[in-house]
Amino acid sequence: MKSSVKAISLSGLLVLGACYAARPGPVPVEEARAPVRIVGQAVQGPVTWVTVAVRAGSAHDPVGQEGLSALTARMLREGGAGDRTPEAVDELLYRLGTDIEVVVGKELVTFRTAVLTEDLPVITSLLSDMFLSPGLDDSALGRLREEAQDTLDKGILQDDEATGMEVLDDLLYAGHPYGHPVAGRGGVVSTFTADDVRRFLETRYLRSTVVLGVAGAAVDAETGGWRPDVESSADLASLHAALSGLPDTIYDAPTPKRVPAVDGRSLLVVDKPTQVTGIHFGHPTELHRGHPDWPAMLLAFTALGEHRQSHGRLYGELRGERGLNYGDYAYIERYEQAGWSSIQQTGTGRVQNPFYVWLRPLSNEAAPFALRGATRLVEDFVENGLETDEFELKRTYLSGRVSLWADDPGRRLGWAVEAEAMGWPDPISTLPAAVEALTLEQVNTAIQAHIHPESMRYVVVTGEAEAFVELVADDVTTPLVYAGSPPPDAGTEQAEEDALWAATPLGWSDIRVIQSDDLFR
Amino acid sequence: MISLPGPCRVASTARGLAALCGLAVVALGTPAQADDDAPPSLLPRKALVQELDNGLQVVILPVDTPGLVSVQTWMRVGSGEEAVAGLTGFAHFFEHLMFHGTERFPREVREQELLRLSVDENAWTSQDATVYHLTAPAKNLSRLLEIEADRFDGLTLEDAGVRKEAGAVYGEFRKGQARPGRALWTGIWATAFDVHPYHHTTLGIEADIAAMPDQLEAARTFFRTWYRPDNATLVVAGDVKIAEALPEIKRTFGAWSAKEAPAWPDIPVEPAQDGLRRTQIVWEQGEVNPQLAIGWRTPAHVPGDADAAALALVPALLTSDIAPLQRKLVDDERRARWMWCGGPDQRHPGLLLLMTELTEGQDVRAVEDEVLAAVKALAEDDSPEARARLEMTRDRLRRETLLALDSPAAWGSAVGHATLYGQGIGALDDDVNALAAVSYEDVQRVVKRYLLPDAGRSVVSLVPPDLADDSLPAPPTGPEQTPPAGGE
Repeated sequence: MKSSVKAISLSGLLVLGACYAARPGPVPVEEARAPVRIVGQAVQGPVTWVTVAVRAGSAHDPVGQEGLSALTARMLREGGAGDRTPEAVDELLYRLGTDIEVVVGKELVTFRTAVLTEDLPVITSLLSDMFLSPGLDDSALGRLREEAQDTLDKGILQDDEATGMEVLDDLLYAGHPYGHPVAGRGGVVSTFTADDVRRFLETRYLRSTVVLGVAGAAVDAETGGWRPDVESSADLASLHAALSGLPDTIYDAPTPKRVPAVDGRSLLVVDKPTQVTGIHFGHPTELHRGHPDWPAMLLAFTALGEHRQSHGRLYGELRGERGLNYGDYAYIERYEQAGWSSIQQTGTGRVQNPFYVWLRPLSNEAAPFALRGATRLVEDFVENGLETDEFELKRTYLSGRVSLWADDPGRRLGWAVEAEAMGWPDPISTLPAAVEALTLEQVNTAIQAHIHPESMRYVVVTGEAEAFVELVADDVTTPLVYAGSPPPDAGTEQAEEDALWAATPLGWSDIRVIQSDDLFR
Repeated sequence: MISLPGPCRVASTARGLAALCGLAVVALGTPAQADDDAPPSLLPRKALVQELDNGLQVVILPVDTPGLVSVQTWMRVGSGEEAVAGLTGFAHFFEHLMFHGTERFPREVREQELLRLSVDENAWTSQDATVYHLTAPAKNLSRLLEIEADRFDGLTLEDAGVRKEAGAVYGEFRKGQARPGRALWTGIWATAFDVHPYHHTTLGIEADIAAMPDQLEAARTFFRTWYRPDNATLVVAGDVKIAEALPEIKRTFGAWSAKEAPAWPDIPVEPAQDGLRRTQIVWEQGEVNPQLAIGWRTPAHVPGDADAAALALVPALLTSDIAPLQRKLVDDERRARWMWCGGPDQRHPGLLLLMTELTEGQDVRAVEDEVLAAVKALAEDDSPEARARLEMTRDRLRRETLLALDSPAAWGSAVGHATLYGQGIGALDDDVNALAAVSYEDVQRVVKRYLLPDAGRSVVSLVPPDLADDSLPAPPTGPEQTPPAGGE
C-alpha cells in the first residue's frame, strides 16, 4: 500500500490549505492545570450513563507506532485495573450487566458505560483505577496485539466495503496522521510493549485532554454539576477528582498537517478475490463540525445522499430507478455507523474530513455505468445546486431529524461530550436552529466552494480489475444492460440519461491497480 | 435489511425489575388497574394493550423519552414461513416492496410526507418476523399513523416496482458475498435442516433472488396471506398519551381490513435429526482464519416454559466473559479470536448456535472438542463456582434488561418481540418470570437433553484451502420444499 500511495502522490498532487484543528498547538498552562472538564445532563430514572473522552485517537499515534492509540485504549479496558486482574474486571462488569465500550476515532478515544445508579460506587471506582492505575497485563497485551494484526491482515479485507472505504481514506490522507486505519499498520502493531502503552498514557491521557460526561439523576439540570441532595453525587465527584489527578503536563498537539489535495481524477483499483464491484470516491475538504459551512453542507448532502436513507439523489437514481445495488450515499465526514442504527457513532468526529460517495456493491457488468452515473450526478449537484422545493423539504426534514440522532440519554451524552472535547458546538442543541436559518443561496454557494468533481480520487474494489480498467477508459461506452426489468422506452428522460451516463468521459489523470494482499502494511 | 439474532436473550427477574423501575404491578390487558394478585410486570404503569375489531393487537407504552415516539409494526412472518419452492427470501423481498407506496400516498408522496415529519424509518426481516419501525418527533404522531397504516391495507404492487426492487435485493445479497461469516451462517442452517424453511437464510438462495423480478403475482399472494391485521402487533412507545393516541390508532390502523387468506402450504415439520452432521466450507476468497459453527436442535420457544428459560441461559454460560470456555480459548490460550453463542428463541423448532473464529492455523476439530467438553462440564459440574456463574448470569440479565430499555425504539422492540409467539403481550412477563425461576438443575437437565446427544448436533467448519479435510462434504444448497400451490 505504502509504495503505491507514494507513486500516486508523485503523479500530480497539489497541497492545499492549512489543516484545521480545534486545539492546535500547545495547551495553555492554566488549562493544563485546571480540573478535568465535566459535561453533565440531568436524566430521571434508575440508570446513570458515564462517558470519558480523551483527545488521544489514532491521529495522535506516534509516527512509526501507528495503532498505539487503539491498543492503549483497549488495554485500559482489558488489561486489569488497580489490584483487579483482567478476569476480575470482566466479572465485575458482568455482574453489573454492563460493559465499558471503547470507541477509537481519529481524534478521540471514548469509554462509555451505563449502570443502574445503585451500582455507581462500583463503576466509578473501577474507572478511576482504569485511568490512574491501569493493570497493563502482559497476556492481554499479547492477545490485543495479535487481534490488531489480524484486523489489518484479514479483518478489513473480509469486507469489500470496509476495504474500499479504508483505502480511500488512507489515500486521501497519505502522509497525514489520518492516513492509516485506527487499528494501525501491519508489522508495527506486533512490536508494541507495555512501556509503549505506559508512555502513551503519560503523554496523552492528561487533565487537559480528558472530558468526563455524566447523564443521570445526580446531575443538576440548571448547572450541569452534581446535586448535593443525591447520594450518588459523591461517587461522581470522586471519579472527577481521580481523573483530575492525571498529569498536568502540557501536551504539544501534533503540528497541524497540510492535507494533500487532489488534482484531476485518479483511479485506484484494488484487485481482490470477490464476485462484485464496490466503489468509493471523493476528495479532502476543509470541513468539520465547527466550520461555518457545516450546516449548509449537511443539508446539501442530505439531499445528495444521506446515509442509509432512500430519499437522496444518488439512491433514487441508482437504486430506486435502476435497481443497481442496495444503496448509494454521500458524506461530508468519515461516517462510522453506530451498530445496527443508521446514526453516526459519536466520538468519531474529525477536524479534517473527506467528501465522498459510497456506491454499495454492484454486479461487475453494471459497475462502470454506475461509476459514470454517480459522477454525473455529483457534477450536476455542484453545477446546479439544490432546487427550491428540494431545499425547503430537506431543511424541514433535517431540522427535526437532528433530535433523532440522540434518541437515548447515552447517545445524547455522547454528542455533548464529543463537542466539548473537540471545541465544537453541540449539534443536538445548535443544529436545528442553524439549519432553519439557511437559505438556498447559502447552500448552493457552499456546495460550489467545497466540492470539486473535476478533482476526485476513486477507489474500486473488484475481482475483475483489468476488465474494469478497460471499461472505464474515456473512449469506451458502457451502456446499462437492464437485468431484471425492461429498459426505459426510447425518448424518456431515463433513457436519455442512461445514454448520457454510458458515454460520460472520466478524464483520468492516473490509473493504478494494486493487489489487496499489499494493503495496510 | 436483514437481522441476525443477538448474542443472548435479554431477560431478568421480574420482582427486582418492578422495584427498580418504580413500575406498578398491572394486570395485562386492563391498563392502569393495579391488581395485587397479578404477577409483576415489566410494562410501565400506564401501558395499554388492546385488540382492535380487525384483530390487530395494539400496545401503547408511554415512557419517559421527551419529544420522541417510536411506531413499530411487527408482522408474524419471516423466512421460517417460506415453504414454497422458488420463493426463498420472499419475506425479506416483500419487506422491500412495502416501501412502494399506496394509491393515496404513492411512493414519492409518501417519502416526501415522511421527510416533512422528520421521520427515521426502516425495516428488517428475520427468520421469524418482519418489522417496520419509525421514530419521529412525538408531535407528528397523528399524521405518521395515517401514512403508515395506509400501506398495510392498500400497498401498491406493480410489475415495474417489483422488478426494480429485485435488483436492490440482489445488491443486498452481493454486499455480503465476500464475508466468511455469512457463508458460515448459511452453512450451519443448511446443514441442520432438510425440509423446514430454516434450511435457507432470510436473504434466500441466489437462484430465487435472481428470479424475483418475475414474482409480481407471488408478491400479491404473499401480501394477502400474511399481511393481515390479525397477524400483526402495532407498538407505539415514547412520549405519547393513551387518550390521544388510541383514537388515532383506531381511525388509521383500525381501517386495515382483514383479508381472505389464500392457502399457503403447511410448513413442513423437520424430522428428528438422526445423527451428527458435519460439513465444511473451503474459503477461497482471500486470507481467512478457520471458523467453526456448532448448532444443536432445540424446540420452538414457548414463553414461560421452564426448558425454554433454562436454554436461554446456556449461551451466556458457554461464551460470556466469565465462561470457562471463553477464558480458556480466547483469553489464556489464544486459540480463538472470539466466540459467540445465541438462541434458541425461534418460533419454530430451531437451533442453539455457537460460532467462533479461531486464530491462524488452529485445528477446528480440537476446538470443537473443547466446546463439547465445556458442554459436558455444564451438564456435570456441580461445583459452587459453576452454581455461582448461574447466579451471576441471572443477576446480569436483570440489570441488562433495565439498561437496554433506554429509548422509545428499545421499548417498542422488547414488546414487539414478545408478541411473536402467539401468546400476546403476556409473553414478555412470562419469559421474565420463568428466567427468574431457573435453577442450576434446570440448566443441567436441558443441556443433557438437547446438547449432549450427538444426534441433534450439526458442525460446519470454514477453512482456508490448505487446512481443508477432503473427506468432508460442503453444506447442501437447494432446499427440498413443497411445490407451489396454484401455479405461482
